[in-house]
Amino acid sequence: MADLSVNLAGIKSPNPFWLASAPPTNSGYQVQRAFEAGWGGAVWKTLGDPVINVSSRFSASTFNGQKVAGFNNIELITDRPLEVNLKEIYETKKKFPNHAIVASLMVEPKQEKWHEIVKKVEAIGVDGLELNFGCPHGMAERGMGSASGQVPELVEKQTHWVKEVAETPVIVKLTPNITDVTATAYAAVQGGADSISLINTINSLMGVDIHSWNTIPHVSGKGTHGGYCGPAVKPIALNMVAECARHPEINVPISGIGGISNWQDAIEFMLMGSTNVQVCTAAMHHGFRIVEDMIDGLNNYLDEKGLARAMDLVGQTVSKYQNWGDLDLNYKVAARINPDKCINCNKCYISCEDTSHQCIDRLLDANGKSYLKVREDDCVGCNLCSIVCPVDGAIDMIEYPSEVEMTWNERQSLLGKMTIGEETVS
Amino acid sequence: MKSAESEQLTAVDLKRNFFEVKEDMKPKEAIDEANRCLYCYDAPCMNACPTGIDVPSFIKKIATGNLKGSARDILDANPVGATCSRVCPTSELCEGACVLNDVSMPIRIGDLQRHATNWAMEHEVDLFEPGVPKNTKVAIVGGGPAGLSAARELRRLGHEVTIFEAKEKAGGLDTYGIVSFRLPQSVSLWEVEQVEKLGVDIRTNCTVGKDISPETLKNDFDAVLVTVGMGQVPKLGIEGEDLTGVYDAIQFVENTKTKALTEQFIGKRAVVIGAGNTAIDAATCLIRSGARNVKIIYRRTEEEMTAYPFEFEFAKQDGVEFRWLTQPTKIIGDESGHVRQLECVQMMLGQPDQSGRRRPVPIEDSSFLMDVDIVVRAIGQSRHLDLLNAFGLNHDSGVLQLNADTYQTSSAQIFAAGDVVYGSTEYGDAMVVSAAEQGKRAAYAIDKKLSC
Amino acid sequence: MHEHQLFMEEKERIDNLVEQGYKITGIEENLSGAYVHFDYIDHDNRNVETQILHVLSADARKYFTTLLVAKEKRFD
Repeated sequence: MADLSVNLAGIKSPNPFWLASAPPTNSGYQVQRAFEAGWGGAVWKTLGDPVINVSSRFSASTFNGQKVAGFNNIELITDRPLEVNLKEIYETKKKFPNHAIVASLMVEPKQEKWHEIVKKVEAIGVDGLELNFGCPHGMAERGMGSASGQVPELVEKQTHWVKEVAETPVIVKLTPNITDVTATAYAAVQGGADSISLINTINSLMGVDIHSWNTIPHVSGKGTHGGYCGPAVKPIALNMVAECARHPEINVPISGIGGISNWQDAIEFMLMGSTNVQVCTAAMHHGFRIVEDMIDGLNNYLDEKGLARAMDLVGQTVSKYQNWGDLDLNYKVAARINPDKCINCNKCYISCEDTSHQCIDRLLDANGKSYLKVREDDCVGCNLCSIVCPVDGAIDMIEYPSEVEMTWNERQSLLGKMTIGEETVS
Repeated sequence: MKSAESEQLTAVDLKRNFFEVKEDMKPKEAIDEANRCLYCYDAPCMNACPTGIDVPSFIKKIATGNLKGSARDILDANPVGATCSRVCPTSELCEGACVLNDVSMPIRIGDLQRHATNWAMEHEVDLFEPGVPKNTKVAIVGGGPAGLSAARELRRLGHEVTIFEAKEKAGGLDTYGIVSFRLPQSVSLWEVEQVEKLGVDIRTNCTVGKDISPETLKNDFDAVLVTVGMGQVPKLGIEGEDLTGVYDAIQFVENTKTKALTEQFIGKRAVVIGAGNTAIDAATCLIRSGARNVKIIYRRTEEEMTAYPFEFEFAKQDGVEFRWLTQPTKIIGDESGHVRQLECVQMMLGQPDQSGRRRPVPIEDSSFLMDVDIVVRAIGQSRHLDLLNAFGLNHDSGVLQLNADTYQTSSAQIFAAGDVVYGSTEYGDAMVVSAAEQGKRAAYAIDKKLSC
Repeated sequence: MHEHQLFMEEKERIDNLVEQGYKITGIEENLSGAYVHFDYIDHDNRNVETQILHVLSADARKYFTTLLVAKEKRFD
């Protein structure tokens, strides 16, 4: 049994699995059920001036029969008075002193407003604060959430205001609705953030009902953009986490969020620099009990890898994530089709023939049976055939390590020296 | 499968005929199917499982590639979960309860369970540990599914456990009585090994009442659990039963699992008497042993037959013929004392008897002869009366009197579980999975008794 | 189609020049690919002859720079 506990900027929890600030952490009843199920921490649904919500609020995309490939919501922050939430936070912390409870906060971008809520919330006893600079819908129209989070100066200033009075670690939650997330992440660090969490939801419109011509979801025939999350956003989130993790001036621990549905996803985020992970959609789809497999799977994985602590995973892959110009142009992979495993669906053939580099031949063997073969010399190693192949092990991507490594940056520097008309090298 | 009708069978064919019929799910097949599971809350499949396996949880773990966790979920609830994945009537239990029956196809729970437990069999992993020693000793009489299940749980609770098993190997019905092509012996023996690994002492070739006395057990152990199951098939009570070529179905199936497969049935005509699951097992074994023609004769009809529908289907696909409303009256031998013919009489259904089934009555002057070489009786199993009497326990024709809450027999020190307490439907059907659950519950009852 | 064939042809031309003693002295890359200047220099360090290869295929453009990079790395 490995040690699954983590420490995010001083916030300790028995395992890296936290519930993100969202509908699942709306009340003490829910958070306590979650802790009983095994969750290591919870970020309470954002506290602030209580809102009034609309109905309906959620929608989801179904992809080829799989429900909830992506999830969209137009629900706002808490609709309950601060005192009610604080009382329940107090009771929950008392019952679960070893679990992490972090309060998510959102107020108008005014110093006195931030000071007021930070003092009130910390007085009740929380393990940390998370500043919600990410919520993309509704609150943004009022100058809060992602409206603040998209402007680095506002991120820095508000973080600074919070840090003026905060005694617990401050996590800044970032919006992905920005061209370069490292700009706001850097601003948060400049403002004194102890940690960053990302990503919040992505601006989205789930769909249009082609019969009623209403938006999905709609509120009495009208719709508005929501925040997208769930498995579909995982690659976007993972990249943003990685970009922050490898940024030399963003050196605070990261709480990873975005489409994490199982222990494998969690490990990926941790390898990419997340100290812990926050989950919402998977819990909304299946209930709090999914954490049981997350914990069991992570533990079995660590045992198998011979690692004693979950924290040993954090950041192991970050140094492998680099700029395109630093990748080796001479490294080559080429596809190889394994006729024993191939089921002859020809999907690799047509994808290569129509949309890649035309390097798969359809041939007949001595018995007149058709088979597929890659002309490895013509294969550029794009992976497409193995991506569309439905059978595990039917297409292997064979590695051809380069004899001489040459990155694009090295090549450019060489070309710079050899441009016609200037002094040349031989 | 190669049958005698089509071509000449070789010893190799015979052997192949007894390989497990169903292949393991392929990895992709298992993941595709696991991802189809809805992961229901308070799932009906889990509630339909006599051992209460958390089905959604073990299937979810297959979907996420956590096969170790999946196998643990299964075997935690059911120590003979690998066997049960092969022999359970899933369409009547978990799969029958699957909510997807209403809108699509049920999840292949049995196959997924087999896939996960196969992983555990292929990977040497320790899934369970013995409990903190309690300084208490429990004897278990009979190493079948109920006994093994009880032993595993008692060991996890910290008791010292000794199993007394009359046969050469433990596993009971799972090791000796279920046809190899459905349940290879290696699966049952692996389950035995898992129990042994926890430190359970299994004394095989040790018959209680012969090699060790009930008194010794009572004196040397704090509690005794009787899980002796059932015995041989009783005699038909007709003329000619001692002729060569007449077999006991249980013994016949056991031979196919313990001895080299014999070529003596190739080309023979066989009749199996009875229509329970054991009869089906004997009939399909005969087909696979090369018999030219195999008939099951039953004095009632398809309606009353006790074999599971899927077993019935399986037998028909193997080419077994069924003769309903047919009662054997005499086995006729040739001059060398070998079975030659079976005399039968045609039956009709009369008034219901005490079991609620309509009683078969002979039709006058309907007697006829069947040319046969082999007769196998499969009309139920006898009970271990001598042993129960030696323990001095109250029983009703071999069905032990039992306190349903404490699992105690008429003697407070002696507990019981498994087939030896089934006599009515009171404790559920006599399935491997029910025996496993009973063993678990008896173990908890013993633990409770010994802990106070 | 059969990009590899074009590469092999271009590689052969590059290799031929290198074998004959030509050295790459200049490279110009533009929308049409790469123009590689090969100079033959005699013992007196006089530029005797220049040949310009128009290299089209991506692999060949990678190839001739790899030759240079390999040489540079050997000197390092």
